Amino acid sequence: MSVFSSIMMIASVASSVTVAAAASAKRPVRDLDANAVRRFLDGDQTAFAEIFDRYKASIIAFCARFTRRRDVAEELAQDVFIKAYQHLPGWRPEASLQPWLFRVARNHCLNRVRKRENQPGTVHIELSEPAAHGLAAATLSPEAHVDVNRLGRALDRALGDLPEAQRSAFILSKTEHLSYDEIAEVLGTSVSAVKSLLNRAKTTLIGQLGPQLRAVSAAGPGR
Amino acid sequence: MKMNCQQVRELLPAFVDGALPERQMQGVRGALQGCPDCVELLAQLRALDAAAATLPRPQVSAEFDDAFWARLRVETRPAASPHTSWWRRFWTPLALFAGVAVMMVFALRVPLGDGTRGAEAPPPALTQRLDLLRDLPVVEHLEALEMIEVDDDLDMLLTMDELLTDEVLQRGGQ
Repeated sequence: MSVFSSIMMIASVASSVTVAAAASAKRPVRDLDANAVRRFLDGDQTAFAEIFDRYKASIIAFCARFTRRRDVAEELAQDVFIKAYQHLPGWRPEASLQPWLFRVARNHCLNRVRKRENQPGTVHIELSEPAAHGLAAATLSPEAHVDVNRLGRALDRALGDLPEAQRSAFILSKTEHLSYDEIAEVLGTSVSAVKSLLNRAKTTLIGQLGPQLRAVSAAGPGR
Repeated sequence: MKMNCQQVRELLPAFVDGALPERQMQGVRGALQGCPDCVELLAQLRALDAAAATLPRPQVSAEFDDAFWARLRVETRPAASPHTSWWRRFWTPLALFAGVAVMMVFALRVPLGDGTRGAEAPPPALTQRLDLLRDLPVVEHLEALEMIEVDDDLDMLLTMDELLTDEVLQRGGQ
């Protein structure tokens, strides 16, 4: 098996299934959000608990990319959900909740970073052990699995060096599976600007992680 | 759609995300076969995606939920109308209104009721009535009438009777 065919196999399987899974998961989540918002507007307080449980981990993880500290990220996430609770009574159920939550989170994080209470990258985030979960774990050989975990750590560090808008676009796209439209909503920009941000982010990351990316690709799927 | 390598490389990041129009997706697929560098870039982009899926995430602390709900209760207390019972929503404005009404009654009671100003000067209506009484002849001579002895009264009445009789007779004679 040639290097290229090996690379193509691992990459195409992982990527296509990821995109498909994200797309198929998107609609039910939106419907669940709309349903929860309607129930909340009808006075059902448990509906807000559902929204909170659905998004708390994502919002904390997103904030942690800015603050590099879990405690500060959790504090910011609390701010986001309190704001959500206060604004939901005027919410249109058909509006998309997830991009709005990330937009509020981003604004809170940027304000915090601007206050220079925390310098990104100066304190290492208390992270759980990275795991090649989901697709990667299912399709990679043991060697590739280890390499992907290593690559994940390297990517985590490299993301810290990206300009904020590029980093946010990349995170929202690759870990939160937001569409380009939704990312544009979060960042308050156009879809073409999002494409440009992602292109530049990926080009920079490939430039920094090229050897490790090639190593993972070369390891190929399980033999 | 015919594309050169540069165009393909520019479109590859969006191609990996499935974010291109179908026509461009097909164009990229067709152009990849003749461009080994583009294929390598595609592999790296997909490996990047796989790595992004393994990005470490912070564990949510055990106390996060409790801390949030406690904070929400505190920070949204005034706006927490869904938690307020119906009787509290009904009685609170009523109690406020009653309080204001009591204060107004208390404030108005002093000039109307205690009469401290009335002792110094009687009301104008009463003064007018006393003046009218003074104008009546009976009242004017009340003091003199009280001094008259009963016997004198009878004598006087008789005298008056005689006088009246004389007068009547005189008028009748005319």
